[in-house]
Amino acid sequence: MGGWTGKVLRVDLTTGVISKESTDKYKPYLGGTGLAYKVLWDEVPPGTDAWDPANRIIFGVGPLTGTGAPLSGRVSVTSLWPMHPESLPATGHMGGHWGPELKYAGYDSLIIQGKAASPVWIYIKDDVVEIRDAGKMWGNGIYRANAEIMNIMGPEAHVAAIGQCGENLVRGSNVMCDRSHSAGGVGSVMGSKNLKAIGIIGTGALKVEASKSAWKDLVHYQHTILGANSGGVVPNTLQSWQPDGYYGGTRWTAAKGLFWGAASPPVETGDCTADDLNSIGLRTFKGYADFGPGVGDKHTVKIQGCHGCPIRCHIATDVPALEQLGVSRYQVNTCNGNSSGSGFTIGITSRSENNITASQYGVALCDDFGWWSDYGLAQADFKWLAQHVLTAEECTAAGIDPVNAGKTPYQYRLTAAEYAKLPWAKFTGSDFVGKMDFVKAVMIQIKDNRMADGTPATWEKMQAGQPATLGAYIAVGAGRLEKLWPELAIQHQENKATPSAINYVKMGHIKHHFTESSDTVQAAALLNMMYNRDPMCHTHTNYTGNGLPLALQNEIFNELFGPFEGGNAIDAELAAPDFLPTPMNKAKAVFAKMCFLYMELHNSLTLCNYTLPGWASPLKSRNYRGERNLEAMMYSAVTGDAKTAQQLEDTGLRILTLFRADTARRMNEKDMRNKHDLMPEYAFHAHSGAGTLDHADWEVAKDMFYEECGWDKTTGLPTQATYDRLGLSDVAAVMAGAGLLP
Amino acid sequence: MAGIKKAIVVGPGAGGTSKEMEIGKVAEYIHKIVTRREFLQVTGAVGLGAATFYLIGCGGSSSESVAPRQVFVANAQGMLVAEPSRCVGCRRCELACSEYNDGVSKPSIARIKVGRNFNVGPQDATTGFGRGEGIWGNHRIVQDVCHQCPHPVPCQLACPNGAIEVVPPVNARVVNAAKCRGCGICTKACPWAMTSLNGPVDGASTKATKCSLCNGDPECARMCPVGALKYVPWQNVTKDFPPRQVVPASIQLAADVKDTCDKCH
Repeated sequence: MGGWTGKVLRVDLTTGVISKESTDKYKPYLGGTGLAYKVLWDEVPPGTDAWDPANRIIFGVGPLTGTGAPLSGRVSVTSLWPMHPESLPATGHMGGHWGPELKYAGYDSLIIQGKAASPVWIYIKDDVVEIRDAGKMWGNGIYRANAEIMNIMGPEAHVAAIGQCGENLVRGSNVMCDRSHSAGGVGSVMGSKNLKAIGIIGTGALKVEASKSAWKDLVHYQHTILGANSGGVVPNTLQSWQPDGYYGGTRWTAAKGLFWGAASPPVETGDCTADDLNSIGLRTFKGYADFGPGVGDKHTVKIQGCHGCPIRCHIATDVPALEQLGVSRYQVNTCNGNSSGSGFTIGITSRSENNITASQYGVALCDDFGWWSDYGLAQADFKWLAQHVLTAEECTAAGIDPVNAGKTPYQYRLTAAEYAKLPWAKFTGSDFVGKMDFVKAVMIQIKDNRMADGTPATWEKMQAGQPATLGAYIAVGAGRLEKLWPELAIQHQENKATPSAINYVKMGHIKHHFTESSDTVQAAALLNMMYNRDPMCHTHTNYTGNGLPLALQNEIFNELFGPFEGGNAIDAELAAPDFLPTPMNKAKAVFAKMCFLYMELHNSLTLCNYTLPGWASPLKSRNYRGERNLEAMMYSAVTGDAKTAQQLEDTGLRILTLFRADTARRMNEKDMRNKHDLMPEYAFHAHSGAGTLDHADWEVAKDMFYEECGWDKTTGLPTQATYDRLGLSDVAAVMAGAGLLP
Repeated sequence: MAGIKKAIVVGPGAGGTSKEMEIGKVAEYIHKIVTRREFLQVTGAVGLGAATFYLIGCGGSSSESVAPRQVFVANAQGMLVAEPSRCVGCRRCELACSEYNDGVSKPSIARIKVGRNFNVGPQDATTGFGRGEGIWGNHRIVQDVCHQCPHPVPCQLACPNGAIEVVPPVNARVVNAAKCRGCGICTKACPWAMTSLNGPVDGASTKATKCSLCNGDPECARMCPVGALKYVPWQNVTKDFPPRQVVPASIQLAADVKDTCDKCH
């Protein structure tokens, strides 16, 4: 079969054994997250801690990774999740060029287990795989690890590495490749295994089963369907070439007269007409969109991104002022990565020169230390803990002596000596360089992750009441910190005074495209309840954010997945604080299910869930219709295993159902509906810029969604019949043995 | 393609400047393949003088009995021009090249090379890291393309099997897979390291790959999502790009080629 190399690489760091095993066992799960869920299910027993040597960290790529299937440069990094208080499974997702290089080296995924006796890195050059000493790199950042490994392997090596955060068991740490691509949350799993980095050079071939001409035609066809990053199929502003007036809200931000201003010479993004396939990569001008006119465009060198992807989304910048701060003027990252460090500041005007300078300064620190901000929750919590003044009532509610009213949580919780270690006057002051000094001070405390006595911070010491540094309380993660500090747990649930709109969801993680996606409130809530971290799902927003009118969006969805009676999948988008979505209905349940299935498929094949699905297109000649079968067409052409969209969707359901079973098994919980699928109370209250859930309707939403998946409504667990239908009878047997069949 | 016929430049000479050939006398030959006999007649008539270039060929394969060696003087009709300021490093060009020409996804044999400059530019990691080009430097990503060298074509003259030929009408320098034996000499002979092997040196089915310009419609340029690759009329840019590698002294001109060269240089 094409696409797959046929071999999965396994490295046992305890024994030093390196083995190559057949991929066949994993093909029903494609690769990526699907393969990883299977590995965790088969090999890692319930009760295993994320940092136990028995835990696996799986760098999952799939049959499409590394082929010319557009948007196929992704890697799913799956493990038991250190941020999660119960070490439930979750995945960090990284792009770049590392995953394709793993395929070219000859491997359909990389499974790492055990723990090395001393720091090591893994050398992979095609057939040659070695565990090498990383003593020289340990203690240094990600940049140094890249430089060292490129010196050894050659400048074409692709390196995935952790920084000091991963080494020092900061729970919010990442593994990063190709400078700006990070898989959040899993860095400390590598650190716990004494694994610094994985360097790869791959020179081999991936077979494409389709004929050269058929493949070329298919790739061309997919290019015509693609719009911009986040699924936009019409430009953000009306362009001269557009026949209709559909516009707004997309990341298709290129325009005539708008330049990558820091390119040499500057590059005009231009008209980017829908039929010009040689300007697809210019459409998404994210530097301009994120940092604003006159600032973002001026400092953009180009828009970077992943291997094989014509849709570019990483902003490569040139900010000369950074040299005054002692870091490179050239930085690159995107979305939340661009506010990881600068999130520790207040009072910087958005879309200003200082804003981009602070952002890129933070990138320089975070991406070297390998810090992951839990999609911004860490900074939101930090700002609340640093700024919110506790009232007497709040003190009482949190079990704090009301005499402490008038203090901020940090002032109450930290020892005076620890509190005084940070330059708070610079945090609140107006001097810009001072603000950057504060960012640096916080970041250094986080990456060092120390107790107040200077010993390595641990959750056990914190639970025993030993004082820690402020950085260590960030490093431990929100899910644990709220157990330690009840006022934070109350804030997470009620979300009354946080500077950001909405943050926490449940079980230690943040929301991600949650009820603020007010055109698909129920689907977004379902997505946010399912995973053991923020869901990292964009299927819903990529479709509803495509820029087409609401009526057309519903029309296209009904054509693809309907017809539906009793209501539409997508509501009018309203920002009113008390916006109640229309009641749950069949179309919404199918929409939610498809959002899950296509995310799992994208993360397993691998394809990019930050731009796909391609359910709509920029082509007026197609009346903006996209292609439901894109994923199936790509899969079939590459592997030679012909599958329809519906068949591939069943594979997606198999992957999701296995994940669900594994989560329930590790929780040993039969009542997943009420014990896992939680919603924070604030989601049912009116909030600015977000839709509001209704308690009764939310119960209906869960009923209908479980039913769509073939899961039991009472428990939220997959049924025997569903396991059997999906080829998971062996999983059903284990669940039955554990008393976890509904 | 106007302008190509005027720019038939050979040289520079040992101590002199470039010298234009007499167009009228060679125009009829310049776009087709000529045998050694034809070559001698033409070049003898116009008197090329001493052209100094990389004297490269293959060692140890000289033989009195080999068939007359084909020598090509025709310039290519077109060439690829790459714009590093536009390149976003997606490497779709490498995929298009290997998938549409070879039927496999294999950037290591792509005839356009971006991946090797992606991290730190053409420098090595020591000098390039953080200070040069590539994603670890100033974000500039240089796409290496075949210059479709004018005569004397380094890869072609180095090939011991005469497997690199000029194929009309585009006149790209193309590997004839039937003749190629996968020795890899061409990969060392190209100062810009633009030829590759699709397998181990001397492997049973190993063949060299180099840019064929896809018969005048290069797949890489068609695929580029930011318009960073253009197919344009050929001109000699071999003096504009610094070599990427030093051609080893061990590579010497084969006798059958050298004899030919000696006749007119």
